Amino acid sequence: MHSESVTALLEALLFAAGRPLTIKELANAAGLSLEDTELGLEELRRTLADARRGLVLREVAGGVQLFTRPEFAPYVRRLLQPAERPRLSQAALETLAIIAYRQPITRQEIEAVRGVRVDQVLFTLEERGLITEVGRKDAPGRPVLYGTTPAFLRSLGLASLKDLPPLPEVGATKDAGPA
Amino acid sequence: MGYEIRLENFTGPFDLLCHLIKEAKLDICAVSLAQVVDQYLAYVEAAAGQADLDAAGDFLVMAARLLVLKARVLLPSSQPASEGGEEEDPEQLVDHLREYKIFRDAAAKLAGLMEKEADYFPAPGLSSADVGATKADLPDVNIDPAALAAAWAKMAPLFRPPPPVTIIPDRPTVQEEIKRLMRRLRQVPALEFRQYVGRRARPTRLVPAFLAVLELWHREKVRVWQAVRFGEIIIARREDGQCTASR
Repeated sequence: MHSESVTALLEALLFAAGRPLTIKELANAAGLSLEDTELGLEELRRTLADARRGLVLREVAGGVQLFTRPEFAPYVRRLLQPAERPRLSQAALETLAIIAYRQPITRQEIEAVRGVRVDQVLFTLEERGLITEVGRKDAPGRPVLYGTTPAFLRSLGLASLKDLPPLPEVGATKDAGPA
Repeated sequence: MGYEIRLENFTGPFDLLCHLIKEAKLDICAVSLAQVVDQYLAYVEAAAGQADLDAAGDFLVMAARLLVLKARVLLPSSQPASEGGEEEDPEQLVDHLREYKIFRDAAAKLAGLMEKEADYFPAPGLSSADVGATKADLPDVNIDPAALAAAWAKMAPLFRPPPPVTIIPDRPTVQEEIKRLMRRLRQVPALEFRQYVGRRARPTRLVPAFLAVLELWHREKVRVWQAVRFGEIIIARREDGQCTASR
């Protein structure tokens, strides 16, 4: 297939899917090899960017997906008038950060870091689909382990957990000592 | 306090501490913690009336830890681990606060990412309604109506309503079982539980019968034992201190 039509085909598939598609899913649907699909996606990304089109191609939550260009967000909002999602509270954000970087982690371990109870916050985060139970710790009482969901990656626009902003080394601060 | 700060504005004692240390333009270390103890206590005291007790509790626990820390920092001669070893090393609290601060900062970064991400609207995709039912909604077999009819003809007899049955309520009460068991034990000195209820007893009979045995044993009317673990339960009559059954 001509490379231009490959690009257009991938664009059509991504438009129709409306969710992150893996390279494999795209390749299967398009009847292309993984390499050709990746080349095609690269071409599509470049075309969209160079022509300053209304859509951008991004890698999120383990797949690729089409989005409206962020500069146009105010206009899209004016058109759709989406209901504002209530923002996460500071407490919820802290808890989410601890889970994101330390997963899988138990409620008790989170509480040890934050110095306060977190059950209500965990409930909120679970309800928002950002975290989920991922198993049980092999410890007395078999406490529930929490981890983040693909929805968490999507709401942060991350391709994978590896793309979380890096943390400063916890151990390194130890040497600083009292002034 | 120049302006009012409410405990509810902080996510926990560590959050308040971070705020105070930042206000005082200090780094996180034992000495700066000792310096902000008084302010910390002032906040907690001011808030003690208004905040709910549950939340205040965590702040109070921290207040206690801070006072210990301050004492340690001011009187370094009264060095660590006297006897109990219960008290924590001031450095432990400092490390804990540093660790907390790392996640507090990370939380701010995550919030920033979320904020930015809100400007990207994903391509909505086509719903199944737009394209007709998707494949996942359809069974992946080809169904021939004739085959379906033939299959039903074969199965139909199985679905004839079953002949009516009469259900006789037979629920002996524990009271009745006690009487019956005592009657039997007047005839024989001892008997096996299984023998008493019959081989094919249903739970509706077994349960009251077993409860009757327990009740009679409790009233010291019978002796109950098993020769081996999970063996037959043997029930023996007991006549005023005189044991009919040996051992």
